[in-house]
Amino acid sequence: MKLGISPVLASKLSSKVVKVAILATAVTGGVTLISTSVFASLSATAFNTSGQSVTTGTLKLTQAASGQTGLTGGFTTPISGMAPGDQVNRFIDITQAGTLNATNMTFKVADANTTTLTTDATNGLQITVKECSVAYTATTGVCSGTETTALAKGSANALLVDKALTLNAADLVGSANNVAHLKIVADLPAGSEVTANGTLPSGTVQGVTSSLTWTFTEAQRTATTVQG
Amino acid sequence: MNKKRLVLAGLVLGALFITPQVTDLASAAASALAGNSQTQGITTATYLAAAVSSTGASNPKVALQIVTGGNTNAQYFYVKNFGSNALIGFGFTGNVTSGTLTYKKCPVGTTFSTATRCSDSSTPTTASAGAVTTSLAAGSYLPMSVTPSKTNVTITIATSVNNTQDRAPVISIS
Repeated sequence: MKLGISPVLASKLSSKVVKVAILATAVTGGVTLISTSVFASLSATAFNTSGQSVTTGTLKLTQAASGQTGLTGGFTTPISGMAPGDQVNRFIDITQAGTLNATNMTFKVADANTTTLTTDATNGLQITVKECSVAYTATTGVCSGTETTALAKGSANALLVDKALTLNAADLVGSANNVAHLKIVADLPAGSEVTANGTLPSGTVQGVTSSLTWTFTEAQRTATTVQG
Repeated sequence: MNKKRLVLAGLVLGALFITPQVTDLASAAASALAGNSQTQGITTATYLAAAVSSTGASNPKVALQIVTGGNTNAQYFYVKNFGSNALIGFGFTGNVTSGTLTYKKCPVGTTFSTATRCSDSSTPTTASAGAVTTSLAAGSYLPMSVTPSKTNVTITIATSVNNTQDRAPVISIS
């Protein structure tokens, strides 16, 4: 007996193979077409041809001794031999060297060599800050313009933390050469100390040396949102 | 026991969640700051005086004691300015174990030549315990004598200076 595929069956099988091949080709082609069409889609981009300039402002604060003759001691010249009842006046110029307006100016002192001058709120140093609308007059230290109190008299002990300094609003505007003219008044109260037999009393303000660092600090003006 | 552990765990978790929120709030409030500092030395003066037995003596930091012998002769001492400031006066007291005391003084910077004569040929003037008004520059001294009314006594001379006897206050502009 001869085994084999009849011509009819062979023809049917051949036809099915062809159909499967056509279907496979169609599916593959479809997938390929769909995939290709993703990258072929249209897109558009718009951008400025010349770069937009964005600049930020600056907040800068400097201090220096007054340049007026006879008032140049500032904070860098030591104070020596101060006795109870004495008062020392020093003149400082604060400059807004940045472009941003400032706010919340504060003032404080730190004592690297802690003594009763800064620990004793009653008998230690007492500080007052005055501001003059113009530079203080040379030699005399008199304000020929309008003098205001930037910081009321208080102990150096209280100034170990920042205290608000009330300056003329115009002196907080950011621009070169915008200067606030300040007078720092340091008083040592007369007190009631009595020395006996060549000895100083306990907790004395006499015969002490402090190393004071005076710091002015300001914050930037309130941040703004600009439309347009 | 399990409840306690649960509560503890809850507290720890609560702290972990709350703390970062506080930190974020602080950071959000930050803005630019500008500061400027300068350092300045400051020293204060002293007003000190003490009684000493010789002009070259250093600061004894105690009252002066004088032990007398079998006579009532004048005893000499000096009130010296050991401070850094000039004085416009000082106070002194004298205590004696028995009897009374009388005092005299010579001009500042001189000495007693005798009980009745100063080294500048002037005559000693009478002084009284209490406040003495005299200009006494730093390091200078005032010669004084004390005479007891009785023999073999111990005299104690104490001194003091208050702020009104210090040089006048100074207002400086510089």
